[in-house]
Amino acid sequence: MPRFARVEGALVEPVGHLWAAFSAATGETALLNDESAAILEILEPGPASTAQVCAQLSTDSGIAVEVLLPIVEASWANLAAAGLVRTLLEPATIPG
Amino acid sequence: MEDQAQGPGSKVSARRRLIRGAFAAPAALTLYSGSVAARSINNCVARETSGMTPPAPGPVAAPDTFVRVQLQKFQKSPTASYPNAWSRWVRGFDVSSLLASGQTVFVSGTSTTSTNWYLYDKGSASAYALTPIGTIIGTTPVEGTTVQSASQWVALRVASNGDIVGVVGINSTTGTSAVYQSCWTSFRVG
Repeated sequence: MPRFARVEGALVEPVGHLWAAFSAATGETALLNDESAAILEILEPGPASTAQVCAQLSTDSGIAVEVLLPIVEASWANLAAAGLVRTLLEPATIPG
Repeated sequence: MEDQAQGPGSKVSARRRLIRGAFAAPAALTLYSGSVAARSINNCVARETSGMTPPAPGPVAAPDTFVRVQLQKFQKSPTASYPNAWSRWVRGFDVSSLLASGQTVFVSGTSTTSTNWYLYDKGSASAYALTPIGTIIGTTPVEGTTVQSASQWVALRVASNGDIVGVVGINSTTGTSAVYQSCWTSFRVG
């Protein structure tokens, strides 16, 4: 199960009803909605899997984890393209 | 739900902004791309220089380099002879400070030094009225100490062999920059 981490140096600041997120890795600035910013907030302490992120979002929003899973899963590519998250590859294991 | 009307210094939390019972698709819209801006600036410079009179032929194996330097403006106290005595210069130090270690740049076959000054615009009635544009002066111009760094930048075109082969406008009397100011907005010296 892959985990996702917030890219080092990513800065997120509120701008009105939205959020501005700067990626030091790409030099790009993106405008985020609350949902994207919340995901980055959850990742701030450390990497997490989609399920772990959804568990916390479920607590915040009251939405069932099963409903959140496909939504969050679909968002990783966009957040990665913005230079805000990265996928942590699982270490390969050699079958014993 | 009201934003956190907390005391100064409190961090706003996106998680606390989420509306109970609703969760929109996470969205990220790129506002500004550094790489796109860089490409745009390069296109801007290329567009501005495409119609220029080609500089004297130089080595063509490698493309020319454009570097930006700020003009220095001198202004002498007005006199009856020179009621508007000012001139603008490229300071040799500004050019030499951009050089990589061990490199030398030349103007009209003469290597630059940090103490040289190159006349860019003699002004309407300066002490250099009869001095050709591009003349190398080995000392601080006679107008005296620098009044200010002029709010103008010029693009020096440097051939691969180190020759400064062009500063658009230097052979004219307009004193205009080689590239419009807007092209240089994001360039940094050093």
